[in-house]
Amino acid sequence: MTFLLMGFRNLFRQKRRTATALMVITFGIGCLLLTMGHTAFIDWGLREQTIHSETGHLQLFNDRFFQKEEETILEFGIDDAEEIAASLQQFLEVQLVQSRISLMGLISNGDKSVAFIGDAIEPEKERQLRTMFADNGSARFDSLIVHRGEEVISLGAALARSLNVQYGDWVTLMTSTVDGALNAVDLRVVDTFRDGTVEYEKRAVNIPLPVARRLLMTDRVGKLIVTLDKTEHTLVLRDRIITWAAENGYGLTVKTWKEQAAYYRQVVQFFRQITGFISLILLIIVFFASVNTIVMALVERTREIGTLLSVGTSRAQTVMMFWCEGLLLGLIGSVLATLFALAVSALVNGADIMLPPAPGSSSGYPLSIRNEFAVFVRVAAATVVASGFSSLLPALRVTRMKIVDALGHI
Amino acid sequence: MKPTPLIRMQQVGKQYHLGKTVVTALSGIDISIEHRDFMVIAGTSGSGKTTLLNLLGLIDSPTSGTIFFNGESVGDDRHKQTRIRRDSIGYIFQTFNLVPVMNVYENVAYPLILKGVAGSARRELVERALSQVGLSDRRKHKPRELSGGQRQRVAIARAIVKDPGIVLADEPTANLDSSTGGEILDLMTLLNEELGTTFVFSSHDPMIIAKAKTTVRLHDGRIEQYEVAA
Repeated sequence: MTFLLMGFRNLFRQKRRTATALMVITFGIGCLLLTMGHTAFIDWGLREQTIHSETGHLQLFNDRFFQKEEETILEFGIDDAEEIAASLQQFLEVQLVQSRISLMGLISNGDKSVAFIGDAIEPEKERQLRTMFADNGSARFDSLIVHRGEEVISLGAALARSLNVQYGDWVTLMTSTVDGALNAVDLRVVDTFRDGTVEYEKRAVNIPLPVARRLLMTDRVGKLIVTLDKTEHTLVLRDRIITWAAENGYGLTVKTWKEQAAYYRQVVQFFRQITGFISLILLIIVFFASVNTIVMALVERTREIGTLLSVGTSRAQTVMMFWCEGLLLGLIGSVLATLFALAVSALVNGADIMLPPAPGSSSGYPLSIRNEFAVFVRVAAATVVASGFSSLLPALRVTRMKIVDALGHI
Repeated sequence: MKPTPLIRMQQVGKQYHLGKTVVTALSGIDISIEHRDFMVIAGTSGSGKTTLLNLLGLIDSPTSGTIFFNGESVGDDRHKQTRIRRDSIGYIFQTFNLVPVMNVYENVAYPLILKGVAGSARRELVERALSQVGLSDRRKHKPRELSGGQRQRVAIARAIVKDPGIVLADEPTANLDSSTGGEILDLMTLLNEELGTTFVFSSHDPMIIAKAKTTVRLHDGRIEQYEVAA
């Protein structure tokens, strides 16, 4: 306690130097926290957006889907989709279960044919899925809902431009059925949509599930999408659903959203690498700011160190005194950096700043910072450790110091 | 039976290496410091007074000879030296050497903290030491708020608070005016007489030499005169 108190007082003997070191730590670590906060926001936003627009929390497939390549579409689809979906509602955490079929083929306006990739969906449930986290483009399903029961299609905006079709025009969708035969259906364009990815919009179509089933000549679906009340429940529910499916003789494989969200994983990995690199640089800056402060203190207080040693302070205790100074420097810097980051993030989050679209994306995203307590604690701990370690290195000089030389130091 | 001297030096020498030159600071020193002694190590500048005091205080090591503390050879064991310094030696510096971030009370209490004396026992010892040096009313003051004489009194309190076997004082009056120096000397004489604290000074102050029970006069690193008052 005495050494900690002495460390604290010694830290403020040279107020200007300590203030400079604290400023470096505050600004550096504060910026790191802001960067990590923005990354956390992107991580969290992308995660929830991915879940609540594409993957749901869990995806159920026919067991054999991942074991063997399908020779025809839906060869390994799910047969009892409606029955399974109804049964899954028994789990309190399950908010929504919906079916999807992924299909591909050719789309034609009569003059021009292009390849498409499409999703056969339940528009009401897709709309519901996209409103559970935030309104995440739910309006794109409105026209399909309005024209429920009709032979309709919604096209990616870029595909509609490519085919030069508009609302009310007819297109022909051609693909192979579950038996491998060719089949086609004429569908009326009732909407176009944007999805944020230009390349996807050039090929994407949405059609109602019943239309796809007629086109593919099957009652099967490709997968069931299960959305839960909280993302944190994903792994628990996965295990419970696996057990339930096995007990009831459903040959199902359950995948989590993370396993199915390759884009999310890539983006998060990319940001983690950037943040890791920035963290390293900033911790090195903290290290040297602290080293500088302690080295200067050591030089200035050499005579005092001699005095302390001569009255019986052990060398280990003297090293500890400087170590405490380093730790305190890191701790105070961390607290100030946290306050700095909280203040700046409040300003930024309140300013509603939009960033330009990322490469390959068609829409921008908000500059927002998500402050997470665990991140603050981790960064503060790393700062204190870096600062403590940086003070320890110069302080070890005390162990080699001769008392008479120290006392004679001017 | 003659009691064991507090400190005994046997054929102690000290050499410094300044580049390729070897400087002999002390040579063939034989000294015995008895309990309750009031010894002055006198001599001109460069005679080796401070070096001898540093060796007595175990803050420097001899290049030859042996130092015995309470009959036990000190040797080169740094931990042993630290323990003796912490428990049995008080040091008073010419330039006071108080810790500026501590107030008077904390400076005096510091050696007791090192010894592990805590709570009310520590408070009592500090109050007693402050009272002995007449600074009870300055306990909250920082060193920079005190005069030179007051600082040296704090240094004396710090040296005696742990009731050491011996207090070593390196020219304690050199940075004080003669009146204040006289007061400090009177205080140390009183502590020697009343508490039986052993004092060893390095000084060429005639006022201190006049009060000494034992005078060791050095010349060029050798004992020129060893005089014990009758």
